[in-house]
Amino acid sequence: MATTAVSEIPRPRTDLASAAMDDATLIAACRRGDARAMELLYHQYKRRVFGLCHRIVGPVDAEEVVQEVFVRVFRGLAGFRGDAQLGTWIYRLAVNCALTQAGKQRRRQEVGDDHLEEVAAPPVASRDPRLSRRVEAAMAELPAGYRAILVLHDVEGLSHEECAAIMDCRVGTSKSQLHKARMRMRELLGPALAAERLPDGEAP
Amino acid sequence: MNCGQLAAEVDAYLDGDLDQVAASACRGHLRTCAACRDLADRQTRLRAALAELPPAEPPASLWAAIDARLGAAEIADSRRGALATGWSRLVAWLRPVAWPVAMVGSAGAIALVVVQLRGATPTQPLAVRAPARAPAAVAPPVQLALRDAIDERSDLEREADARFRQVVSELLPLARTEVATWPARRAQGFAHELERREQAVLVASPGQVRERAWHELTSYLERVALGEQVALGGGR
Repeated sequence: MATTAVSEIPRPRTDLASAAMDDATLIAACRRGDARAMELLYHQYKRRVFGLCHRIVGPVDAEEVVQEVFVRVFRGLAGFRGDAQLGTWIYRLAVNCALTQAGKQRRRQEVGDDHLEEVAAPPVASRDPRLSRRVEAAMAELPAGYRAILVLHDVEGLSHEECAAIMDCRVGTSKSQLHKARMRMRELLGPALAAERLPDGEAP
Repeated sequence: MNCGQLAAEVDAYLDGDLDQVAASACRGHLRTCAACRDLADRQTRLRAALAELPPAEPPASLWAAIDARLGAAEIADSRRGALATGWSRLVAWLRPVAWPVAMVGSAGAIALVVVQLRGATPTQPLAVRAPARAPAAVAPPVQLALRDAIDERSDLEREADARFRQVVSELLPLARTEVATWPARRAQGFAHELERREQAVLVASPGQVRERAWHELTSYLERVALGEQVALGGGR
């Protein structure tokens, strides 16, 4: 079906010039259907949402999941009551969509589809590309729930309070899940992590 | 502190979550135990590696795809009102014939009919053979004459099938319009789900079982046509 792109139809416009526009103004503009506000919101959150989804479901399904997340974000903004931060709410939608997709992948894999095999590292440009690739591969082996908390806390650098709000659990649960996820990662990476000792002085 | 305790607390220690005494105990153990030092080293290295993972960059085309899906959802919104009205009309029309078919299939219901018929006089209208389309008054199954119900059962079943078929034929194009806006993989899923439900109708024995299968099929098509695949996320 031929659809008209959102940006091609007349829409309300908001003065977005103010650099200090807060979430409430942005949300209000998006609710009115202001296309520029919607795009602005997308650009504000796209990297972290894509990063989360990419690392939870892998590169093959990431784009579709991110599309689903933002469709839900814009369609659901009307019901966003503001009792969580906008970012927390968006990441929660992202984690939920990604975990749902990861569940489907697991079921596909159980019936013989080797889909998760396709989970691979994105283009690597870190200090130790070889280790990064191994870390990404080990993450792909984790149960999806562990992957989610590991990405939120250790990759994205969110606090346990933020992780708990996103995962809709207690802070203690977030900590214990992360501990288990890290232990599993250590097991999976074993020799790769031990291969190179930190120089003296950098030990904890 | 022993190695087991250290292993359990190493994350909390490195996160700085331990109080001064507990942290000091950890440091003391690490000074004297090479294996635990190695464990803490690996843990530190793992954290550094995770924090240094390069960011996954979203493709430039992603916004256009989201934009298109939002547009499709808005078009679906514009149809929704009319569709919902049409659907409730269809359901009201379907119900009078679907009921007797469902009920004569059940022995309990038949017993109920017999009990109800005991006091019936010949002048009472016992049979509801061809339920009126409007108003949507549901013909209560207990008004059916048992004899008529049995005689007419196959006709009723045929009629119910025909009605369900018509509902499907009206919902299918609407559902297909909606599916056309879906990504390819999900659209394939629709074809599969549809086929599974159609197959269930074909193999179902007449009566309640087949009616359930029909309902499965029609309510699936209805959900798709109403655009529930782009249902709202919970607003929190």
